[in-house]
This record gives sequence, C-alpha cells and structure tokens, in this order.
Amino acid sequence: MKKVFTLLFVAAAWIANAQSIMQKAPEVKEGDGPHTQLIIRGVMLIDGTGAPPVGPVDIVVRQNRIVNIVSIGLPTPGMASDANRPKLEAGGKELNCDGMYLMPGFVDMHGHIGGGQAPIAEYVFKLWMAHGITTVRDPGSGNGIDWVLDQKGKSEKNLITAPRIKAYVTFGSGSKTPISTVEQAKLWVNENKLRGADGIKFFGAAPDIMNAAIRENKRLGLRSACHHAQLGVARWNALSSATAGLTTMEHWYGLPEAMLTGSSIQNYPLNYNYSNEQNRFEEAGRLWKQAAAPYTKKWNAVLDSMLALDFTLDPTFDTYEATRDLHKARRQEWHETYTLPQLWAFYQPNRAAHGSFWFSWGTEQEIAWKENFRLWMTFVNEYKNRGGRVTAGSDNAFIFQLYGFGYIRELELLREAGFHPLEVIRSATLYGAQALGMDKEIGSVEIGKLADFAIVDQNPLENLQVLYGVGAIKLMEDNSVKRVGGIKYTIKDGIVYDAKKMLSDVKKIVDDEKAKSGFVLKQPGMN
Amino acid sequence: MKKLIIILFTASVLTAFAQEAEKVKPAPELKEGEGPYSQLIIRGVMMIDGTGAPPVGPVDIVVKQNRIVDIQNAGYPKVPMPLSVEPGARELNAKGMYLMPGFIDCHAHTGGNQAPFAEYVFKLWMSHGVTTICDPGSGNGIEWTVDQKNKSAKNLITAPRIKAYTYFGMGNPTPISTPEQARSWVRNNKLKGADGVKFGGARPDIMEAALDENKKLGLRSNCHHAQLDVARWNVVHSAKAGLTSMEHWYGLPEALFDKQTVQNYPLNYNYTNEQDRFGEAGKLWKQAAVQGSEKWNEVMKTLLDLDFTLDPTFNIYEASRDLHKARRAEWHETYTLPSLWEFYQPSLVSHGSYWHSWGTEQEVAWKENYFLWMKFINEYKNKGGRVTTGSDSGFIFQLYGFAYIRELELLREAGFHPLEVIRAATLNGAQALGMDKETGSVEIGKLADFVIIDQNPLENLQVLYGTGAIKLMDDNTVKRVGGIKYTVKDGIIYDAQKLLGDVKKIVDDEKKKTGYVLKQPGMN
Repeated sequence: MKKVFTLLFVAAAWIANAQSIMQKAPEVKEGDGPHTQLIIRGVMLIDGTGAPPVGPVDIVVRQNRIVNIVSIGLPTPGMASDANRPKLEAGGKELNCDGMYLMPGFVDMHGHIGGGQAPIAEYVFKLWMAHGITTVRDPGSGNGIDWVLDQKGKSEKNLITAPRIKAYVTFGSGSKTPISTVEQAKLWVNENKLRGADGIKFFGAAPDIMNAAIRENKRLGLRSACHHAQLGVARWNALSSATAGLTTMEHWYGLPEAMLTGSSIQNYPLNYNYSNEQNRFEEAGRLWKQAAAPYTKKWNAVLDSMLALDFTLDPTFDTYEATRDLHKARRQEWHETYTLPQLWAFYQPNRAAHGSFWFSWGTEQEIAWKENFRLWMTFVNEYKNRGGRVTAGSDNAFIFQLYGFGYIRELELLREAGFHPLEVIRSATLYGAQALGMDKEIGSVEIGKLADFAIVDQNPLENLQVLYGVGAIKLMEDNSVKRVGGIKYTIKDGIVYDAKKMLSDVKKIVDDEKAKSGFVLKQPGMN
Repeated sequence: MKKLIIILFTASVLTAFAQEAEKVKPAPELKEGEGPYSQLIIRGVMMIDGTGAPPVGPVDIVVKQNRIVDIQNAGYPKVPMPLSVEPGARELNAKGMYLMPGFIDCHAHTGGNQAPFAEYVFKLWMSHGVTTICDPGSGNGIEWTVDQKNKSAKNLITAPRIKAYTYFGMGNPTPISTPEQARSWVRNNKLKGADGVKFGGARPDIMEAALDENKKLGLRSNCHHAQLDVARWNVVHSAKAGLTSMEHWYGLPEALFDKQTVQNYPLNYNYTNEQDRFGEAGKLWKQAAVQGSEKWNEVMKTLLDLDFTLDPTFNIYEASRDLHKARRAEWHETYTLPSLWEFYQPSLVSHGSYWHSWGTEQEVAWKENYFLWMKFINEYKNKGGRVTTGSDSGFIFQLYGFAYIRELELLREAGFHPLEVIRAATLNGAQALGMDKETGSVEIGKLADFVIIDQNPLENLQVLYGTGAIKLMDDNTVKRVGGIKYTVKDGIIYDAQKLLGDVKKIVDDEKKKTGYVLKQPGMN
C-alpha cells in the first residue's frame, strides 16, 4: 500500500524514505529459551501441510530445531501410554499443552514495518508476534534497506523480539536518478543484491524495464513482489509479470486488468485523477465487474497460465475490507486499546494520507466493493482449488487495519473466499514459506525444521476468531460470558514467548503515547 | 423475533404477556413538535415522492392542517422562481434539502422488558423518519398497544402511527387446538380493536381457518413461519390461504425445497437451543432450489400472482454474518439502554442472544445465506412483487431507528436502486398495511408525513443514520453530515435531532441510576 509509485518519478521522496524516523526494537532478551531440550506435551498438531489435526502428540525441540514428534496414543481414556513418551532430560524444559492446538508460526507476506504512522518497531513486532507471526516479508523496506537489514540480523540472533524478516526493496529506491533504461534497471537490481536485500517490490514501470528487472533479479536468485499500480497496468499487468518470472502478485491490482473483456483499459470516469484516492479506490470497486466472468474462457486462460508458471497470489483481502464496511473497520474493538494515536490519526479521512480516502464513502461505494470482493474471492479460491499457491498477507497500518489483528482477519477472509480452515492455515504457513524460499526451514511442523510455532488453547479450525488477541466470545454452561483463546505461546527459534505478555507490552506503549498528549480516540467527524 | 411459538403451547406464557404490559411505560402525554398549521409551506425542497419517480425540485409543498393540498414547481436548478405560492401561516425553508414520505416500519415491536419505555422506542423511530409502524404481535398487550395507537392518532404523544397486530392465540384462556377456537379468537381479536394477526405457525387446519376468518373480517396478517410447523405449512400455504405478508425468511426456503422436504437438521438439533436454531438457519438457503430452477420460478410466480408481500427484515440477522460489527455499532454507547444492552448479551435464555460459540464458520455460512436470500428478494421486486421494510429492532444488537436505516442499506445491497429502496420504505409499506390511500407517498390529498434531510439520501443512505455520515470537506477537515432534520407527521414538525437528544437523556438517566458502563461481551 505504500505510496511509493510516485517514487519512480520524484527523486526527492527517496531521500525522505531513507531517513527513517522509525525507532528500532530494543535489544532486550525476552521469552524463555532456547533450551537444550524443549518438550511440548500433549498438544493437538496442525502441521501446516494440509494434514488434518492429529494428537495428542509430544513435540521435541533441541535449541531451535524440531527433533521428534511422538504420537502419545489415541484420544481414548486409558489408551495413552506414558511408555513411549519422550523423557525430559536434565536442563530440559517441558511445556504442558494438553488440549491445546499447535500450528507452524505464521508468515505475514505483506508486513510493512511501520513508518511515520507507527514509528516504534517494538510495537509492530510485538503485535505480530502476539498473533503468532514468526516471519514477515517487508515489501518495500520503507524504513530503508540498511534499517531493515539491521533489524533482520538482530531478529536472526534473537537479540530483539521480532519475527524473521525478509527485506524486499522498492524498485528504484536509492537510485540517484529515475530508472529509465534497461541497463539502469539491471544495474540497480545487481546493486540491490549486493546491499543484502532478499528481493524487490515493484509497483510497475515501462514494460522493457519491468521485464529486464524481473528477469535479472531472478537470475541472481532473488525473489520479487509487485503491486501493479494503475499508472502502469494498461501495458504491464499481473500476467505479464508472472510470465517474466515475478514471484508474487500483491493485492488484486493487475489481475482483473489481465482479464478485461469489453475493453482494454479500466472504465475510468472521464474526470478521474489517480492522485484523488476516492477516485482511485471507488473505481477499483467496480473493476472486477469489468473483467471476464468467472469460469469463462478468458478467466480460465489467465488462471491456468498463472498456475503453469507456479505464480503466487498474495491477496491481502483484509486491508481493503473498510471499502465494503467502513463502520466495521473503524469500530473494531481493539482500536481503543492497541492502536497508537499517530496510527489512528493516519487512518482518518485525509486527502493527503494514503488509504484515507473517505471523502464521501457510503452505501454506494460499499456495496460495489461487496460485489467486487465476491468476484475477486471466486478467482482466488478457484486458483487454490486448481493447485495454485495463495498466501496470507496483511498489509496493515493502513485503512483501519492493525498489525496482527488484521492478519487474523485475513485468515477469516480466506475462509470466506471458500478455503477450508486447513487450507487457510496452509496458506498462512507452508505456502508463505514456499513463496519466500524458506520452506526447507519453516512453514510446517516437521522433524528437522525450525521450531516456530503458534499455540492456542482453543481449536482454531472451529473458529479462527480465537486467534485474535482479544479472543473470541464464548457462552459458558453456567450462562456466563467469557473470552477464550488469544494465542498463548508464540515460539520462534525454540524461544517460548508469552503472547499475552507481548500484547500487554503493546498496550503499555499505546498508553504511554496517549499519556504524552492526552489522546482520546474519537470516531471520524465526532467531537 | 418474539419467541412466540411457545405461546401456542404454553398457556402460562400468555399470562406473562399480560404482565409485561404493565412493565412497559406508555409514552408521556406531552405535546411536542410544532403544528399542525392552518397552512404550512415547505419551500424549495427536492422531492422523492415514494412512488419510484426520480427526484424533482425545487418544489414548494403546501399542507393544510395534516393534508397535502398542493405541490408546486419552485424553479429550476440554480434558477430560483418568484414565489409560486404566496407566503403562508408557517414557512419551512428547505432549500437544497430532500423530502421523502414518512418511513414505514412493517416489523416494529414496541419495546418489551429490554426497552421498557415507549418514549425511548417511539423517539428513536421518529428521529429516523419512521412515521408509521406495524407492531407484529403487540407484545405489550393489545389493550396497551391500542391505547398508544389511539393517542398517537390524536397526536397526544410523540409516536408514529401504529398498526396493532396481535399474536395469534394471545389472551386465550386455553391453547387453540381446533379451527372453531381459531375463528372465535380471530373474531374476538377484531372486537378488541386489533388491526391484524401475527402468526408464528400452527397446525394447517388452524392456520387455514384463522387466515380465512381474519381476511373475511377485513383484517390483515403477517407470519413468522417458525421451524416447528414449517414442514407442514410454509409460506406458499399461507399465501394461498390469504396471509398478507411473510416476515423474515422463515418458510420461504422451505417452500423452495426440491431435493428434500425437511430442513437438513443435524441429528442432535434442539430448537430451544438458539445456537442450533440460528446456526442451522445459516445453512438453509443452500438447501433450497437454485435461482432460475423450475421450483424457484414456480414459487416466485405463485407468490406474485397472489400479490403477496415480503418483509425480509434483513438487518435483524446481520449479526449472524458479522457479530463484531453489530455489537460495535457506534451508536450503542450513546443510544442503547442498559437493559437492552444486557438483553443482547450471549445467553442461553434470552431470545436472539445465540452467541454460545459463534465464530468464523457461522458467519461465513450466513454470508452465503444472505447472498442467496437477497437474490430471491431482488428478483421478486424486479418481477413486480411488493417488498417492504421492517426492522424487528430490540433484538440481536439492532437498535430502533438506526437498524431501520441499516435495513435500507441492505435492500440496496440486495440490488434495489435507492429509489426502489425508498419505495419499499414508503409506498409499499403503506400498501401492505392498507394505508396507501392516506400515506406512503407525497401526493396531493394524502397525509402530511415527511422525512426531510439536508443531504441527498440516494447518494448515500448512511446520511439517514442519527449519527450522520462521514464527509471530508474541501479544507481536509472531517465532519458528520446528515441525520434527519425534520420528521413531519400529521403536519406536525418534529426536530429529529431534538428527539434524538431526548433519547440520549433517557439513556443517560438510566445509566446514572446504576453507574452503568457498556462493555463488550466477555470483557471486564
């Protein structure tokens, strides 16, 4: 969502970009571990591969690796045998997870690490970690590649409490001049690798430049993502990128445009202005209707072409949800407790802030977007059904969507699109790892992989909402109402983090920020 | 939504209803609003007349006492005309505003224990432009409802016009178990001053007899075809027997079954368990014939031929597809009574509080359910059928008035053009209640019931909410715009924002009594 497209044209913006005001995460050892031996006892396992839940099992971890997974018997009283259970060694650690569910740590494929609207890395990282996210891809590295690599390195060594980080750099950023030739593009791509980036985030460019940059990047063994912004999509859409070797497409941009039937350009009203974000997002809500209808020839052809290219879709449904229901998004119950004042301010209707396009957003726009979502989801679900890779990305800190919380909402929206909850979890774990080239190390719970887990004391398949930090509503047998769930432990590299503790750290950061200015969260236009 | 099916079986509950009547405080007899006037001229307004005609204006509308006597062109866009009508006794400058017929809420329970102040309920309605309601069941007792109806008719209280429909069997000393008893109850119901009957379903011969007798007497009827009887008597049966309108969705997918004859209940289903009831309801439309199929078309045609009315009350189920949204609607903190908030909370006992364990699975199923349901409703409208607007508020996190506006949005979502939405909210409602000679459209000779707002409601129905709609101004500041400005009933002008202020005061006073703070379910 970063408004970086203009970066391709305005050199001044790059400099601003590099001078990050983002406060780095404190180097404080938190969490418990890693341990010479960690045994997670009696847990129900959802391994991330699409296998059904199985348990109870004991999972044995040494330092940061899974070394054993032992089924400890049928879930029948008296059948469980202690004989085959792994023994705790001296100095080892046991985590009793009887009746809980364990999944691979989640991968947020579209995780911008803050910016001016949330300038405290600890806040962002802990919101992610509190929601089970142990790996993020920063699509653009908006705080500057050096900043991101610093945090990435520290996270790798667990000097800070943060997910694993993959740093993708916005194409062209740091270049002294706009990139206008194929040679410049290739040069930049090579320099990007030398600086230590993991990949590139594109927003579109001239076809020859896109083509050259994507291919050169792939030749170098790096990965790439693209938000096919409106300004470039008429001549280079998601299928063009997929053909050139792009790894993932972000959001929806460039996909309906690859399937236009009655025209070759989006049906822009004649007074459209891309810099007017109400124009941009309102017309986007009418875009999928202009594309080939589901299951028609063109629709199938584009879908199958992408499948053949092993292309990855990263829809980030959640960050657009306010377009179909602004009231819901701005009234999410976590805002009062967990949204930073400056983030709340950033969300507010504003002609200048990105994603704050509520100039006059009402029934008409929301209903168009509902239909838009439906058509979009049909494509994404069918792509998954035919074997395609769909990942979970949140793109939070825009449009009333909060880090971590928005990611869980993304899981719900994948469910709404037609994914079985096990397919949802696979998208959130193994598929993300594959798209990042990390599936040898993470993304599923298998012997030999890194010990990255999300553990919750409820069954997340029955209700994905138990993964929200605020938990899910449950009526007890005595007719009292409780919140249940909220992730209990996030384990990264064998280190056990108390997820609720991290959430309360987040609350404290928010409380402190509020105290500075006496901030009270108010709904737009209310005094 | 009233849990009325049990009244068919449990006589003791009948008594409970009678007791309830004493608990709900009637509206105070206090003259509010301005007027009626010997002559009232509403100047320069944009008119949406409720018939489906496009907006036209500016016009001057002349009212004498409580009747529209003239509607005159008052210029052209940007070109004012000399006064088309000479200055009158009272002038209302409505230049640039939009005027619609007063709204009709066809499914409007007048409170109950959860909202035991009629003033609170009436003013929430009136502040949202609702000038006529049908109370489907008269749960506060038919005498209570008829009393409020009569006082409203004389404008002794600030309230919409009321049509009182009685729960079938209510007040009868024994359960109704024969057609003769049914006919006798229906005749007696008319004598008590009721305008109609609200059914919840019953044995076929009893439904047949009651509907027949009721229609003969010239009264109207509506029905919530509850699960317990729908296998043997669905919407098509009712429509053929002379029912006026069906409420909600109950009994319609069941009439559309083409691969089964009974809902696919899980084998451990219990109707009294409301999570079962509503959870399974979310999977019901998928069991019905698909759009365009023979069965679908046949049922649609049958209902159309019978001039049958559909009153979907979409909004009352919205929490089923998005509980978070419903419970966090921004008006709760200001306008929801503590007793009502408590009633909404998850409970094994309260009706419509079926959040035993309601999450992603249930919500996603209900989204699909809505999609299929809305298709039927929209096609029915497209084929000339009458669809009305009912809110059924006071349950499931839906607040009087506010939820009615949400209903308009949901009709829009179903595919209605905003003008079709307004027609459903006005003329269609009047027709269904047999009041279209008097209200439901802005036409000379009709009663002066209007909604006036300083925004264009067609462009954004959300401007009709009491809390207004968000608008970003040219100077990049954010404002709320809209909220109904005037509700006019019987030629009396009510300041809608003042009515809302009164509601807030009632809520504030109630909160003060106990130091009440509204909390989300399960949060301490």
